[in-house]
Amino acid sequence: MDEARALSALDGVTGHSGGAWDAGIVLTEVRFPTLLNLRGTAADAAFGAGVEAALGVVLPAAPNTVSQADERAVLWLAPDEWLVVATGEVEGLQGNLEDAVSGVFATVVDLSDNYVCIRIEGAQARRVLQKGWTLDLHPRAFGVGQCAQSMLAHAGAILRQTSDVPGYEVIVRPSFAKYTWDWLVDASAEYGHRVG
Amino acid sequence: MQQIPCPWCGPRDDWEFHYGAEAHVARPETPSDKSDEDWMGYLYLRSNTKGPFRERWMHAAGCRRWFNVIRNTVSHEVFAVYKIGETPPPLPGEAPAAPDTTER
Ligand SMILES: [Zn+2]
Repeated sequence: MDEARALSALDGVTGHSGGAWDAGIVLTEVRFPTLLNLRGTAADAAFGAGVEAALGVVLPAAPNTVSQADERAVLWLAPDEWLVVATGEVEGLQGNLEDAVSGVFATVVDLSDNYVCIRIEGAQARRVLQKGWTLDLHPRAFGVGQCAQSMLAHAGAILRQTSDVPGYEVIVRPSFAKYTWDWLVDASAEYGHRVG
Repeated sequence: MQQIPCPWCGPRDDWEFHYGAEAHVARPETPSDKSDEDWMGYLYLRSNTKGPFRERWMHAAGCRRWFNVIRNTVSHEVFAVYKIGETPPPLPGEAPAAPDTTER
């Protein structure tokens, strides 16, 4: 019998790692992060405390901001909605979070299979994204610790800045993954890209 | 490009939003009492205002939350934005409105 193996919508799309060492852009699929949609009442102190206890991350209250500690990030999506992005050791994470908010009005839904995450990093990464992203990504307007939901080249996306290089993570639906990857490759052409 | 200020996300381009037509149209509290004419009014008849107008918008590409906007339907000028359940700000040139009890 074949062994079960996780498949990504970008399998066969990204090609092998590699490319020019001095490429202005590095595109990497962040494979299989755990993505949990979290809903609850921001003003409920017990909810925030439960989330913090389970994740080790303070629930971000300000719109379009990110709280992060190690391999756990919580992205503000709406006044009562967040996205938990977790990598590394995630065994039991959802259960712990569910237990931590079980006594309050809250939901935790695993959406890991509902998204594909692409990292774009490099000196020219901002210029590439701005070709298809209308919100200002200039450091005066956007930086590490911020996220936003809008459209990247007409595909609905969640974007967050992850490093000052700059580096960003783009989270899209699997059905838009190939389109988004191909668009990023095309938009990176003038700077050169390699696959991380 | 027209921008609409989402109460949470700030100014965003208009294509990020869905239009929700006239605000503060209250569903009848006791539906079974209502005549066909009442239902027609609730379902279909809108004020079709020319000028400052209270209307609903939803930030579809962003936080996906509904909110209210006072917008001039002629010039598209946005006068105010307020959350569902908040007391509507007065229309330009109008006295302050009573607290809204039609929304939760
Ligand atoms: Zn918004």
